[in-house]
Amino acid sequence: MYPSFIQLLRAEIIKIFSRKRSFIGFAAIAAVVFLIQLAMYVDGENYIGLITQSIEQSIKLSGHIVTGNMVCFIILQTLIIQMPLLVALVTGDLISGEAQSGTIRLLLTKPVSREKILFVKFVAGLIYVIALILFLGILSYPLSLLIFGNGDMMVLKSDELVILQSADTVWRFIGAFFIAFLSLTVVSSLSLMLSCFTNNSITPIITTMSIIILFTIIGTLDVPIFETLKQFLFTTHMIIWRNLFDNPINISFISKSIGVLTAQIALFYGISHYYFSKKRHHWIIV
Amino acid sequence: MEPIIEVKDLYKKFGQFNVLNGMELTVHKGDVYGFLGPNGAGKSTTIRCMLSLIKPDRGQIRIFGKELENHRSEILSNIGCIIEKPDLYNELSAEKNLEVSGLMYGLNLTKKEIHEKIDMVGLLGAEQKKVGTFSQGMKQRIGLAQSLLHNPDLIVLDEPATGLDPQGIIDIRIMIKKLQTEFKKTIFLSSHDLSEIEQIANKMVIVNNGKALVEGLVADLLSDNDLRVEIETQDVVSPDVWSQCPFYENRIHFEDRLYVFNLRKDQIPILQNFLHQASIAVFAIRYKKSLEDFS
Repeated sequence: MYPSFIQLLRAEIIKIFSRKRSFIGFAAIAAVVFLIQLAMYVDGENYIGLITQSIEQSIKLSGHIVTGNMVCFIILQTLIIQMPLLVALVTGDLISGEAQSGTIRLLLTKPVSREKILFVKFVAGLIYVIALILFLGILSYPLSLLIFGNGDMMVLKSDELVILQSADTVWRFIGAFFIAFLSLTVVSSLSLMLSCFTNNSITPIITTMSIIILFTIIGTLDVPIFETLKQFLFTTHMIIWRNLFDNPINISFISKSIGVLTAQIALFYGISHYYFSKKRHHWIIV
Repeated sequence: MEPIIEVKDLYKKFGQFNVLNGMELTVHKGDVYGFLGPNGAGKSTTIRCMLSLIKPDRGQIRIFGKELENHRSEILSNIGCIIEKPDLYNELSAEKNLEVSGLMYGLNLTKKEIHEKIDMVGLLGAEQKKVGTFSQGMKQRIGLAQSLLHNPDLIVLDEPATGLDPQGIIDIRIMIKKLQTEFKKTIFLSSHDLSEIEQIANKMVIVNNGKALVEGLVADLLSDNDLRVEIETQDVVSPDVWSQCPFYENRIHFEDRLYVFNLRKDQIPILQNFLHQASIAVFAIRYKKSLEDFS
């Protein structure tokens, strides 16, 4: 009897959610979201006042400024940079964790090809990412709307102030969550790839986190030598969701980033596929 | 009897080290086949090749009459295995472990079916406990249940007694016997322990340096007709005295106060009688079959 894709995926999901580590991400997101919502609820007007201090000399802001839309934007701004670390915690040992504990043999002696095993693990990683994004989405968007009410959204950028009508924000948030999903999938496939290279479950997690931190640092350095490099760093494109809140939107700029992120997913998965299949020739069985 | 496993001329090299040097073996349906050899003889590598965990450099593996290379999934769907130690998810309960393993074989097992398997290995009552809290013996039992989930015709056990206490070893031995007699399974059992194989297997192969040295029925290979008898004496016995021994021609090794003969079991009392008559003070007489006898 051969297992179906769904049966293999179910087995992977059971394994992922049997580990306490998998819930750290949800707990961290819940904690950060509630903290931001609490802070904005208690002191939101003052906080916004501080930020808008400089522009209030030329523009008079009035009415309901701290809306659910704005709080959701602030939450995303805070969390999307941190979420890759939470994803790596789970996807980083999808292969290496099983290699370390020996359970990889259990998988590889089943009537399933190595390619399918890897693909199932990749999809299981995607499901974990979707679960995190949905959790973040529900906590940060509908809940913020419920607490702070709906209303036009003010987006303060370094060089401009964008006011978006409330009806015009829903699709932008959906787009933002989609780009966040794509960004986290890059991290998921990167850590899966690193996970194929070792039999130690911690190494790929730490390495992924280090790469994210390194790339983020390079991204913040305004040094000419790094300018070309920055275009290829996934961390550069991970923050492109913010451009969805521009008016008008630079479609080609966003499309290019989506293209880079997608290409990197394909690249990392391709390397994983090649390496995981090739390892059959090695003493280490993975 | 039809052959279930046929391994021919198998070679595998890791770096400069030749692990398999033309390994050959044949296992027939219904056999409990002992795969015996010292550590580093190439047993695990052969098993890994048979389960397609690693690819041999050269050679042929046919299982259930089919080439492993071309019918991998079909063959693996009919094999249950434990390699070195049972591979279990420690954070999952025994029940969930079997559920997950079942899914990997394409089985959507009901709780009742899972409990039946757990009961079969004598662990009913522990199904909700996390496997990480289990003793090695309990893990071995769950591993065995796991390897039987899909009702395979062939069960491959690589050193199943490793890490078990004496009672655990006896339990595993009983379970293996039960699998052969009641469930008519073919069992491929790897071990470095001759006595273990002797008690369970009906056929065996002895391997060393990556190749088979001798293959045959356990009863023939370990018969009482070919024993290594060691005599340890209090003093050195002169060759003149030994030359009077009726089995002098069967001597293997004479050194200091240790004298070794190759005898049948029924010749031992005659030898003892000679020792008594020749007034040779004996510390000990030992007879055994050992792996080294075959190397």
